[in-house]
Amino acid sequence: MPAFRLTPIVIIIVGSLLCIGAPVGIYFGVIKNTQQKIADQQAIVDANQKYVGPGPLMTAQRALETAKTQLVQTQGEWDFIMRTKNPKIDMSDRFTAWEQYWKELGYTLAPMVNKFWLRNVRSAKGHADVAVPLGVLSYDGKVSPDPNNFVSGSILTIPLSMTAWPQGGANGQSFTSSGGGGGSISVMGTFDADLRNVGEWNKFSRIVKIDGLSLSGYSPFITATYNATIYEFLTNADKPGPAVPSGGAATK
Amino acid sequence: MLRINLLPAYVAQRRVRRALTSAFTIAFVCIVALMVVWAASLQPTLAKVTQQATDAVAAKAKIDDLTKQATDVQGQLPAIQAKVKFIKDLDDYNVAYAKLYRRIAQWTSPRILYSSLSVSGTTLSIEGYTPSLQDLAQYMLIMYNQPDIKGLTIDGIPSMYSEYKPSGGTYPLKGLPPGYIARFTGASVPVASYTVVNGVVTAINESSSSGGGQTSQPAMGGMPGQMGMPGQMGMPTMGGAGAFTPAGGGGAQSAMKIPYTPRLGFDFKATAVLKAPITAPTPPGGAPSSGGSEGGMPGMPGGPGMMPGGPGMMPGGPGMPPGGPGKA
Repeated sequence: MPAFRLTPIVIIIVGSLLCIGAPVGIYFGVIKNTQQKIADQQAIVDANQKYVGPGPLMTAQRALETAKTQLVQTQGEWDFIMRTKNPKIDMSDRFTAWEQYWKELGYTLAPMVNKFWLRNVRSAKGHADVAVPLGVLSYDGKVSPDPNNFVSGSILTIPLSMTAWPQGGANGQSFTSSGGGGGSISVMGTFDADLRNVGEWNKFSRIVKIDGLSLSGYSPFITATYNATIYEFLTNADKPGPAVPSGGAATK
Repeated sequence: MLRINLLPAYVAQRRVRRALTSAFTIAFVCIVALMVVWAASLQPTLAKVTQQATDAVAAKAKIDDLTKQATDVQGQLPAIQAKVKFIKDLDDYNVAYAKLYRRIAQWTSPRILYSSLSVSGTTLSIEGYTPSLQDLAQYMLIMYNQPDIKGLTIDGIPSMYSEYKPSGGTYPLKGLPPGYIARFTGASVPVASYTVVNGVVTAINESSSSGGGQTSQPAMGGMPGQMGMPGQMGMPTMGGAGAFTPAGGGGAQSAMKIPYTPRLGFDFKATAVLKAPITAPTPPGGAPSSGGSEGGMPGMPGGPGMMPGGPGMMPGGPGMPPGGPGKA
């Protein structure tokens, strides 16, 4: 077998191969990968360009501050209403909620309604322009002696109603109320006095709905009849406490 | 001259091989060096872009977090806003009827007397008195332009004077509660109806259909001026001669007599549809609970409001505030 001879032609071929192959290999093996990585990172930068810079960050921070301010203001309004016009009946403990409701009806609402009614509905003696009640104002709040899960829901309604005066009034006159029970209230007075009486309920220390106002009669003895219902919002109604277990029969 | 090279061929070939090898070696080295330099020059660019991408991703994450916090905070708003809006709407609703009645009164002619105003659904019902057909017609023309109502209709108008002709019959008391009438007739029990007999209105005791009323006291005054006709003093029925002449002779009295003065005009009924129905706001968060079905709290005493006493001589004041100027 003839020995391999490194002739010039062989050197040219090998040299050319090396001079072409090496840069091609370096390009495709290193440079192109690097360029691809640069392109990928640049694409990420381009996709997130709108978030870059102080402007977008400040805008987002401002939006958050605005939302928080709005929430604080609205919550503040609601807290004020709850503080001034709603009792605290906390549903996180059902038994406590029943106790608070019972006390609200008996100790708070009763004198409150009485005081309000005395202030806004007076005797007509010496004062012609007032609305005179046609009976005794009461409310129809019901309380069960059994507190087991009695208070429920998120809002309680307590209708106000009027029952007839007892017979034999202060002047020896006797007459029946023209407004009676069933959640309706009747007052008598001039047109302005009656309507003013209705408007006064917005100043009552509880949330009241006045409904179905009707007028009958002739001034100054116009009878205004309307329905009044008190609304009371329960606290923590969205996460009430566990139900109160019913009491069983006593066992020895 | 001929050049004769007597050296063997491999000597020249050796020189050629050496030159080619050197040339290709130098070329190879240069090319590789250039490629290495090129590759090296891309590294700072890669690092810079990589840092920019990292910063952009971090900025996006931070802004997304802030946006999510803002969205969460805003998500709490509607529930609270609904409650606050309910309270505010309730305040407006409570006086909506009163405002409506005031506006109706402002548009009503002062010659018209209302005896009843009520709203049921979207229907406004009116009962009143008009002294004449002309006044009723003018009233209708004005009320057609009242901005709160539409479709005003007047129900069947009774024959004029028929209800008040002193020809006899029993008529229910209108407007005033029975007990009030009793104060002025001197009856000691509520009076439910009166009867016209021979031109004289008699008060009949509610408890006796035959007219056996109780007349233990003389009257303190007559009926107040005919149910408060606007702008008019009470009709001259007060303390007139024989105003409270007991019916029949001595002994058991059957009724009190009140002089009758015929009243002109007639009552009418009207209905209209509210253009903007008054709708009660709905409590947020589900139906309210009434809290059970047993027992009941006692009533509280109301105000010391007694029925209006003294002014038995009260003139017939205006039934309603004077109407505003009607539209021309």
